[in-house]
Amino acid sequence: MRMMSRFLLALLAAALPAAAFAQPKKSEEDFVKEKPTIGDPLPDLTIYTPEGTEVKTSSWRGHHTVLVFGCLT
Amino acid sequence: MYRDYGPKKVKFFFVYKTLAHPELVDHHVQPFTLDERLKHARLAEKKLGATIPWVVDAMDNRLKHAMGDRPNSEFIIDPEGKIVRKRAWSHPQEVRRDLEKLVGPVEKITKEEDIKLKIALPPKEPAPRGKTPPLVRPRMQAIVMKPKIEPKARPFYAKLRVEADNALLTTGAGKLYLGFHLDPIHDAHWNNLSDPLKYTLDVPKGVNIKKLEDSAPESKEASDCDPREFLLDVEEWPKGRTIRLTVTYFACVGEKACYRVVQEYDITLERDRDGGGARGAGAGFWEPEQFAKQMLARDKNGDGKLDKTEVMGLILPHFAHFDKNKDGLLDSEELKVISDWLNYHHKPGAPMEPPKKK
Repeated sequence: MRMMSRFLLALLAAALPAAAFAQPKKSEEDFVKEKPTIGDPLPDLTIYTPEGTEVKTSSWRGHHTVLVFGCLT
Repeated sequence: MYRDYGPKKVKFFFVYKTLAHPELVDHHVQPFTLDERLKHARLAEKKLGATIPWVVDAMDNRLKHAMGDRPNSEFIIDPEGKIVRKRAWSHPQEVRRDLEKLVGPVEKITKEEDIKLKIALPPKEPAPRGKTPPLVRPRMQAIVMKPKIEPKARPFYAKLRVEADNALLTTGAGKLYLGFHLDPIHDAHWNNLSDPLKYTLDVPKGVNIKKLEDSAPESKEASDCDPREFLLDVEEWPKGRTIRLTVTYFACVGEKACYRVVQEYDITLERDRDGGGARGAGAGFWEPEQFAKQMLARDKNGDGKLDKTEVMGLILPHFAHFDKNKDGLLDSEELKVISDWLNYHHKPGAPMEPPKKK
């Protein structure tokens, strides 16, 4: 449980500062209005797998795709 | 959700991006190369233990920029490649509701307790931290710096973080922070038996900065991992003029391999929108009362507590862990515990184990 606790804190740290102190409602509304908006195409960009293989975002077409941005901190 | 909707051909990806809060968790700092960012992503993969695959943004942060520059945003893309949902902050329960509408309900919903995540602890650091008090820096913002990367040279064991206060950014006169932070992914530590880290600034005409060169104080420890930090007074720095910084330091990797390293950076007085909010610049400290009060601003039904519908982001999947009295709500005391633990976790030199209960 302690190991879990420590890791959870790491995860929380990524989410909490802005989530806790910003004005989430306004922020959310602003974000939805910003480009790209609902209905816009996902830009076709080249990114990578963690092993360094190139991935084109257009290769995800044909399926619903859920993207969640994150990092170590 | 991945387990429930993966079989329904829904793809899920975590997108690894530039650090939101450098220095904050396990002292990670912004990578300088794609190889370093890929290592970060592999570490995140290992630490989280989830089976959801990661993809990694390019070093020019093209996907982050194209999708609105938020640290924990989420999107659902339809099979034709169009964006059908977007949120500034990830909210798994809402994604599930979205997928129920877009793809259909699932027969059995995987619960939090069904997922046995294999959590990996961060590696032990090669030398102690917390020997030198962190430099108190006023709320500052990262500015643009470009390391001079030589293909066959040694890695940037220590990475420069440059920040400017608001006065410097707006008037060209103010405070400039230079921090040299050891990058944990290189497992390096300072060799304090040799000369301390030294920087020199080469400034163009019209730029006036006090202390164009300085050295870190000598340490009593043979080695440590604390950052080497400097706060400079800038009297004049017209926009568009680039400063060249050269740093010399001695670092060791492991027990025996020690190196003298000389590295260069170009610094411009321009806000770095990918720099993130570093710990020393204001992020990473939560005063418990204030933290609880601000979190409770989300209390929509006015009962003085937060239920699962009133929290968001990554706290949501771990709600039960912090709900100590198991009443399905987070009260003020439980929220204060979260802030206490966060503060403890990010204290320089904090040991691996959390504090013992009194």
